[in-house]
Amino acid sequence: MSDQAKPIDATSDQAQHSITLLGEKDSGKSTWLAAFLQSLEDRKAAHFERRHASQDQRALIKLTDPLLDAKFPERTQRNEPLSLTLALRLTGVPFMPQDVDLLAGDYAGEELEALFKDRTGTWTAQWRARAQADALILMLKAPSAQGLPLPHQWESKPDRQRWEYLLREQKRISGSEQAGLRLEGGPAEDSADDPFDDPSRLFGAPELLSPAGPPEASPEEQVRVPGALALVELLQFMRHARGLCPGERPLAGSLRVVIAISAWDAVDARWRAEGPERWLAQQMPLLEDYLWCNFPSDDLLICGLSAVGGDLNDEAFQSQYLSNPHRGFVEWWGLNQGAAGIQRCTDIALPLYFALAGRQALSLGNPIDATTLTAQAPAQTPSTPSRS
Amino acid sequence: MSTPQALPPPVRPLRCQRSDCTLAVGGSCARQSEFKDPLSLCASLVRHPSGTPEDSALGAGTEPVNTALVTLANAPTADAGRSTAFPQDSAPWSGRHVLDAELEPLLARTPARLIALVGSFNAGKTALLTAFFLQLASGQKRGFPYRFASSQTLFAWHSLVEKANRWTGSKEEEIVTHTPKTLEQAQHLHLGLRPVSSTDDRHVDVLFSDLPGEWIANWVSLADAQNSRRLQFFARCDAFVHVLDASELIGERLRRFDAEQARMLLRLVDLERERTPRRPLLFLLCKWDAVLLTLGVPPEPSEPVERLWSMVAERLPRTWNALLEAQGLGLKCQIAAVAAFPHTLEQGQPVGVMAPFIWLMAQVDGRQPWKRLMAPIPEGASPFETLRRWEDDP
Repeated sequence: MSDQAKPIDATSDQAQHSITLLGEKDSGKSTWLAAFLQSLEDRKAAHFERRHASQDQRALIKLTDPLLDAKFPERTQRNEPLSLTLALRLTGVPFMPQDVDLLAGDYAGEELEALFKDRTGTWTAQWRARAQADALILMLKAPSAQGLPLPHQWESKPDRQRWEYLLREQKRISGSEQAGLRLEGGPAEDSADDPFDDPSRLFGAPELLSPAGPPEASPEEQVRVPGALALVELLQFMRHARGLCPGERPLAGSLRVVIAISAWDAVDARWRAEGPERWLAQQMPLLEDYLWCNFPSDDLLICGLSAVGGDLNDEAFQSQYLSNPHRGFVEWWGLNQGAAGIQRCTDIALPLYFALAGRQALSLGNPIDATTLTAQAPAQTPSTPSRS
Repeated sequence: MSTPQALPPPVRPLRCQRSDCTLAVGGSCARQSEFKDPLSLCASLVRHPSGTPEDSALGAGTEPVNTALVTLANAPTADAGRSTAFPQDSAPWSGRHVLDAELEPLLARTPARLIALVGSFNAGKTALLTAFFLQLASGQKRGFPYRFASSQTLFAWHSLVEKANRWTGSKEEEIVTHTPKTLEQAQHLHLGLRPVSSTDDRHVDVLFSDLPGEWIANWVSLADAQNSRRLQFFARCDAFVHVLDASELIGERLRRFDAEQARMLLRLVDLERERTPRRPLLFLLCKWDAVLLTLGVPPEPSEPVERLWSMVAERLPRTWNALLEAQGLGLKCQIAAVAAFPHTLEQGQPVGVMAPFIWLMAQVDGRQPWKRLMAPIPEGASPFETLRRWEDDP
């Protein structure tokens, strides 16, 4: 893996920044890296210039060559972690021009599982070095994390009514009551009332400071098993290596974190219209809680990322990709010129801009009309719910 | 010229062997709640008088060294199979249950709360904790005023959740793995919580003891040194949860069950007789779904407990009397009913899991706001002027 972040070289205007990519297997780390490198070579990364080529280009070639054939890069193998050093220059408004040596590394997602289960011999010097990075980019794959159907919006009910519901269910099972019971006030199973007609019922009231968590589950709704425990543990280890206590938020600018929900183009349009922050709060509430408690909001970006703009396993999309390989984008919920809403940037290097320069990178976004996203949904689409 | 009088050897300030102890920071022993006189009784304190030319540990006029302070505390034996040597590339913590030997650094990191779950074998202690974690992790907080901030036992939680997720709903199967009675030390599950209030920036460590029911039964029947050794952490607990299997309320061994629970409750009450303030007690009836058809919907958790829980009083008269005795002694008591796993995870949600923990945390992490200071405002006077002068007046 990448070397530890080195201090700023006082003899030149050059700063060395290390960025660690994290994520479980198949979360899209290699794909995004490859797409970014390709955009760099094609001069599509608007604010990065390459100062000179790296001496060792093997990793770069291995990552980017498959994209030339409209194929996904190979998954990083466990015994072949990737380490890239890129000599770049950050340019253009709103950034201060500076030379940047970017150290980026990738690793096999299986390492994360091994680290979670086996605590001896897996927290290696490489991992400890990754923990000292200036920024973390954490990739989450949306389809695998999504899994469950969109929850219905339930009015919060006291436990008494839940007990009564359970009692009626038990009576029904024992044969002493009729079938087709439901909790009063909740949607019937065969209801024609589509909650997606009114997303405010689906997604709850907006909140100023923090996205709304999951709506209260109905009594018969599946209990969700948290899927991000390994990632949370890894973040805890990294914070521990940096000397941060649990719950201690790092000093502003000392550790920026980007949560990139990959394959964002494949996410249901109704979730895209709500934004990646709300998606994370509802789909991965444990991780969202952990981030809220341990990182300052100004140094945290939660965004949806599509590295290539579609599925390269789809032959139809492959043809489109070959004609224009720069279809990727980044979306997030934010303010732009006083208006809050979904922002989009077609420069997939945006997570790196944020990692280097913080929230000023978000001025590169352009607001998009969320109704254009929800128009893709099969159900009727109302106007986008507003957030305070 | 007179010989200058030899100065007494300097006495070094009190030190603690535990690097995380609050003694160095705030001047108070982190274990002061366990001892009447922590400075003389806490075995972790070390006090070494500096050597004198006479090579005597004691100089004239110095205080005698309490040998108990100098003696190092015996290190507790490691659990069988758990290595105390740390290979070079080891993670900072194992992620498994926290053992007693590892408890001190966490407890010394204030404000740490230790909650002991006490109950018979198969009462539902571990299942309750698993259901609580699942609700917290899936965002089903139902008013629980904290957010997940950390855990040093994430792998332990993961193991419990995975086991519960595989449960097919059969009564013959275990929902979660029973806590083994062969452990050398008590084990605990850890959560770091942060209050949801934006004005409260604390990180609160909460430890839940996960004890085998056999230990409790042995301690109840004979509270000798051996049976009490593994439960020494009771002295440091902030609250107790007495967990009962509600299905026994309609079982055939009701009287025996009543006698067992009453004895257990009275042991806990005895722990509190000499303590002030007394620790809160949550009386928790688990597996209420098993008695729902017979006993109906349980009352809302509320106080006073005797007003609404007559169904318990009728079936468990001895236990009920013990509970009233606990209340009479000044313990804050609460009764609640829970169905942690009324069905498999795929089939639906638990009922009543969060309310007991909301009450528990309100007890162990309750904060009394300062009263507002107000000067009396004379009739017709300007409040602003009055308060301004009040601050300036001597």
